[in-house]
Amino acid sequence: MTIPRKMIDLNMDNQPLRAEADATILKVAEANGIYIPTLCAHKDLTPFGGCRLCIVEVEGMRGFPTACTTPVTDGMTIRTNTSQLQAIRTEILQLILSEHPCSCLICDEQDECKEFNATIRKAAVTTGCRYCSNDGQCELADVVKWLGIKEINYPISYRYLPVEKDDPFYDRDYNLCILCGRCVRMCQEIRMADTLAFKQRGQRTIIGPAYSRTHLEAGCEFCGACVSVCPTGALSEKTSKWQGKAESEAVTTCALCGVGCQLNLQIRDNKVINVLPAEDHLINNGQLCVKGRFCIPELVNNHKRLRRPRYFHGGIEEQLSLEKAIEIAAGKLSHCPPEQFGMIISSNCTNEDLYVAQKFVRTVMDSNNIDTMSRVSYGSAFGAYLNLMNKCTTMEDLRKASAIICIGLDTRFGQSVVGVELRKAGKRGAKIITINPRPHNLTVVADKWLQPETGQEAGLIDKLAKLMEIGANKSKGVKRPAASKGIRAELAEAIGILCEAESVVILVGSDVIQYRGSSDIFESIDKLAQTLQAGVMLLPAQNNLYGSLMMGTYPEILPGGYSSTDKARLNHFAKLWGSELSDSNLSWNAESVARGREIKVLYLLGEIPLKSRPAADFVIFQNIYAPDFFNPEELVIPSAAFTEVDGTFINGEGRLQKVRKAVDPPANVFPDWKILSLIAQKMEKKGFEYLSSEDIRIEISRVIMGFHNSDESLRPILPFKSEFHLSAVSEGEMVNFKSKGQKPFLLQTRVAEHTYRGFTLSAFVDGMKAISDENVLEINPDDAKELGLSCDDEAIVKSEEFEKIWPVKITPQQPARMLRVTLSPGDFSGHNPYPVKIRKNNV
Amino acid sequence: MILKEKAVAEIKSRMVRYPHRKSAILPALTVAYRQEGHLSPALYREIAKIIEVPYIEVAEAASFYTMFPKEPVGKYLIQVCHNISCALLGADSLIHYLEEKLGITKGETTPDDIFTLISVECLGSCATAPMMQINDKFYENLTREKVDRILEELREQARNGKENTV
Amino acid sequence: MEKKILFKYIDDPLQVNIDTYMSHGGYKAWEKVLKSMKPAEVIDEMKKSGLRGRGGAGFPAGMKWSFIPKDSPKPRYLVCNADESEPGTCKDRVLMEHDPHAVVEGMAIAAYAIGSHQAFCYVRGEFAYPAAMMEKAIDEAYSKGILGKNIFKSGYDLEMVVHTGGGAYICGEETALLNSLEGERGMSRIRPPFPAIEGLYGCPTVVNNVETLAVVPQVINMGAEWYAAIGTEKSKGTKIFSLSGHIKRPGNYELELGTKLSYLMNDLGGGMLDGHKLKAIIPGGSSTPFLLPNQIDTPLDYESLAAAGSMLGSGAVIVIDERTCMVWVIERLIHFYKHESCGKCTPCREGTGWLEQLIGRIEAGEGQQGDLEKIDSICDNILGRTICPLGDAAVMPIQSALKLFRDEFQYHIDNKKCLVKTEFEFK
Repeated sequence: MTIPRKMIDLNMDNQPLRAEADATILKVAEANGIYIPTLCAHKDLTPFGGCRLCIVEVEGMRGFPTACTTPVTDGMTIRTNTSQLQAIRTEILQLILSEHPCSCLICDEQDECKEFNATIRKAAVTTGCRYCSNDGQCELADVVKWLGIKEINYPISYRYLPVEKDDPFYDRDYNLCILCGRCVRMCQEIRMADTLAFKQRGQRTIIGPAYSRTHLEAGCEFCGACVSVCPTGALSEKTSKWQGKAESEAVTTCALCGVGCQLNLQIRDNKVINVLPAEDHLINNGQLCVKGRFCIPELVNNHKRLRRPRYFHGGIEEQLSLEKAIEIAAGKLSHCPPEQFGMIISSNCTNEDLYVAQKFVRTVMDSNNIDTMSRVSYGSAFGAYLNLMNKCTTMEDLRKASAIICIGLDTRFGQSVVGVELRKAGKRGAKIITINPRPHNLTVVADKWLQPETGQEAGLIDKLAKLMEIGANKSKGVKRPAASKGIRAELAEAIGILCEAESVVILVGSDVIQYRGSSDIFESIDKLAQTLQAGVMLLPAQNNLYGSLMMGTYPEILPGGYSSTDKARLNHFAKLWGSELSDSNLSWNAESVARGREIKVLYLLGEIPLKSRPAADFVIFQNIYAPDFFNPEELVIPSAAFTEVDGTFINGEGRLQKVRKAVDPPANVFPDWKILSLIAQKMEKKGFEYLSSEDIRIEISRVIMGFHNSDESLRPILPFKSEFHLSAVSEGEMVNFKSKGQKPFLLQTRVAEHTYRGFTLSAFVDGMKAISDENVLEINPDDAKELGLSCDDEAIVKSEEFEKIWPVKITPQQPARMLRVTLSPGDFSGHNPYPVKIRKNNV
Repeated sequence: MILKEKAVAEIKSRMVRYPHRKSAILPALTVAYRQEGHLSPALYREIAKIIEVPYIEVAEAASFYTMFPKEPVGKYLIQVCHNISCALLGADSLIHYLEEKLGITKGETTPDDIFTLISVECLGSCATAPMMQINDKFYENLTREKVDRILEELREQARNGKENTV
Repeated sequence: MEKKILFKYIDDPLQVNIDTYMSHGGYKAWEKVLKSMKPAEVIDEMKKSGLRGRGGAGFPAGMKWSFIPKDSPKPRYLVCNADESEPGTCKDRVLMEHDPHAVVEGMAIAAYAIGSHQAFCYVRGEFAYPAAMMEKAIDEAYSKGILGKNIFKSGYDLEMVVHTGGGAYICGEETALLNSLEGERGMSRIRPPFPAIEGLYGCPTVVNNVETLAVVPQVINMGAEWYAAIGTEKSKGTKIFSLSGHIKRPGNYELELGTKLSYLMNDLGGGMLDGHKLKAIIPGGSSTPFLLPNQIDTPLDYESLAAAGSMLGSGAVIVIDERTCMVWVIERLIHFYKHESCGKCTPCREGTGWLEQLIGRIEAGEGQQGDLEKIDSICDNILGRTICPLGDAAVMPIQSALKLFRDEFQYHIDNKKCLVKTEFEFK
């Protein structure tokens, strides 16, 4: 409910203008296309008034007020561009330039230089020089040009500060810094991350994290918001800094987690050269996390991208045309019996891909054998997780919640956009409770940190739900339960917070899944949500998990969430698709692959179920990169990345979001749905004559209400029918840990969250290696000491099921007797935590 | 913990006097400085913990305020005012005199870690120039004779291992 | 003429004790205000007295108090600015050391007038002793029920806290002071909003100088008419002048406003040190323009000093004799301002740096032709172009020196040495 603001009349540069009272002169000028130079003001940040370039003349006001800080008043007469103002601005800018190596900005050869543009090749083919990566996108240069500065009356003083390149993702050259403070305000006001600050004062002022800590050590989230607002080349992206200015932009949806942030892809020469956040008030509000901001160019432009199909046959590798590949695939598939076929598809695919894939499996292969790897990652909890998905709440609700419970969530790198919302919530007075066995980034944000033992989360949440229920049964005026024998003091405090809350949202992070018995957790969460009448927001790592459910890429689920054993529904779809549908063959799923069940043809569409070659006579591998394993009988088909296709995703809220093609895929590389359609057509099957993803969307909209919506701004939330029943992944028995003497070591394995189509981002993105601890054994310092392990050592970890060797990383956050290792997808998972024995590997 | 119990108690007692605890950063830095003679990142960390503010907020404030040495100094930090009123009455020669007496140049600490000599901006003692501040005490209307006596007394105190008289 | 209102008991060593202070009529004004005056009446009294801020800007105190919004639901704060750092100024320190209860009482009355229940005294970090004296005075006042809850059974509560700084001249500027008090870096804030609307913790706040507040009890006790009768038509009351430099008897002197500078220097200060000839006077702290010997009869009040091309400022009179090189003086000052610039505004941050370099090289005998013009232009560039007055403060003495002693600067450049140069020796 915004109250309409009072409007006033004023005069700017002899133009009569109408503006909102209280707006600054700068805002009014910008809204009316009047340029006032400024280097420290930024639309998202509070006015700073430091650079002094935006000075204007206001009749009746003394001196030269700054446009960025002076509010307009009724009848105000403003001049923004008098010769006196320009003279002063020129002087001020010269002062800025005196501490900014800027010869390129005022060089006589500027025009010639453009013609013989610089190159970063080693060969001397240019007369130009390139000191600054920000060439062509420097706001400072823009103002220099606008003011027509040709010389600087001061000697240039260089500060001789070392260029800071040790942190991942972006470099910092504070010799170029003009102390506009945008990055500091961004970090403090918008991100509320408290990583950057001003240090020292006066001319010695410098920006950075406190006391020579690296950004990594200082808790930086590498969201890149500071880099985006830097008006000079002081902060620059490592990978895209030399790419120059973007030629065009495209807004699309991020495919790297279920939050569904809106990206503004920066495009040049048919390449995504950089990614900036899009203005989107529904989801990410102009913010991104490290994955969205920094990883995409390296991911999609990587030289390892697959470009041509490959056929491995009888020990020979053959490169072939797509046509030939389609022919081979069709040949193999037409001889494959329904129960001997299986497809695993990535939940990073668009809805259109997913829909066509399940239709392909059901109508072309006459099978129900289609699944995603989520079933294995989520283990026995998968059914409960999907059920919770239907109760999803929205970011808008999160922004209004008066209390927020975070379960197994750490928002430093993944979902940092949600972390920003949490910090904002804390600031507006919402209470935050975090439940996590490990110290994590939310402990400083939260009002209450409940720290159960690893694997004991369900018990704690259960208890919370029970105690709240008792509270709810008592009529209004619930009193804070006092700490008693049965209730720990901190639990009582948490309950006190919840009793006073008007609206509660529960956020579920991925640290709670992958436990033995984690289905209990989701049932407990469900119970708690019901008691509190709270919304639940799941934050799945798989961006289109919701979509996979809606599109029915599971043996048990038809599009829309209907059960695939429901005869009436099957008939409905059979009629729609013009094909007989089978209600049998429900015995195969992704777990069968993990367990090595042999079939004839395994179609891996954007997934890698195992590190080694899966058991199948023939494997069709369709992805953006080649698999690590060598396969004697295999067809590899390149497919397009999400930046190269049109389509839709459904994020964790259940919101339908557009995916827009920003650049062309490599030559002869197509979207997944197209490849599947070509195979189907080759097999002479009808129903795959799609010319565009739009055709598919129209077809889906016949199955799912509200799916096809031409109004882009609407982005509806789509509920699904929870009519299916998932067969549970089998699990070993919970081990009784109550043995005598010292507690055994417990190993928690988790799957790296930063994945795309089965690959970890760290395999292709340099910076991710620095911020993700994959394949290292995290251990508490005391435990390490007891075992004689130090940082460079390797440890042998042995359980009943496996023996592994991992390098040791001593992590103070790790609880005692708990070990943790992060693995890439397909490594192994499910039975968690494992009781293990551990010793030093004496090499 | 570097901060002694007494210092922590004082920080805590000061903290509760403000509507917002962040205000206690400067008083806490002062308490820490009085105890240690200089500030360090380890102290910022302790202060941040006591006041419950992010570490960087303590560190950025500390870096702004120049009164607190950020490196170890001698037992007695001699700060000679070199601003105009004192300069007119021979502050520069006072500094030279101290340099000679202590055998160090401005900015240095004597080898026995007793004295550090620096020059500072106006200390608000202009009508009693020239002057210097040693730890928290002002010494005004300085003459050679007075300086000799002060240094002798402080040396004596340091020899007897007396507590920092601040 | 010398007139002791603030300094009435300055020489009584027992004045720091609350009993002595009360025996001299102390806290009577506070009691009177609480028991018989409405806040608006106190403000009216202040307005009538004509008392102007003694920190340097000279803004009418009563007016400042009246800017506090009457209907704001937020708490209000009173802050006493005891961050005395303007070179040449040492008066607030004397008040806090010798008559701290007067400051406490003035703060209390001001707090009441603006409806504040929490007052802070921001003392510069180096003033350990004055801060301790203020804390002692406040403790004593609490123990007598003069501060705290239900003071004099009036139902009025007032808490008072001494806050110490960390060595930053900029914190004497009121918005930087407020940031510093909040635990932030002492960088000035943008106005509007003014502190009266959004000051400390975003709440209505009044910041007054020590000297301004210390005289408030007297104004209440003796009445606005009495106070307004002292001084000149527009500059009412008395003011403490800190006399320093080349003068026989430096010290703090309280004068009726409008008293001639020559009276302060000769009659009270005993004339020039060692009989040297007068060269220049800084009349109101290091940031005010110089006066020349022929202006020695200028009356010390806001208007007369402004007419003489300078300012009353903080009342710090620095006397400079003929042996002094003006380039050296200016170098000293610009070094100070560069050191104290917070770094926020470009002109001040970069400008003071360049000024220090240019003036430094002239002083070192390395000046070049054109340097003076460069200095002129940088000064123009800073003056009036920054958020807070530190930029102006840095520039005003330089512009003044370049105007009055330009030949001396030129000589320095031409001859690579001082026109006059004395190494001042301390005794």
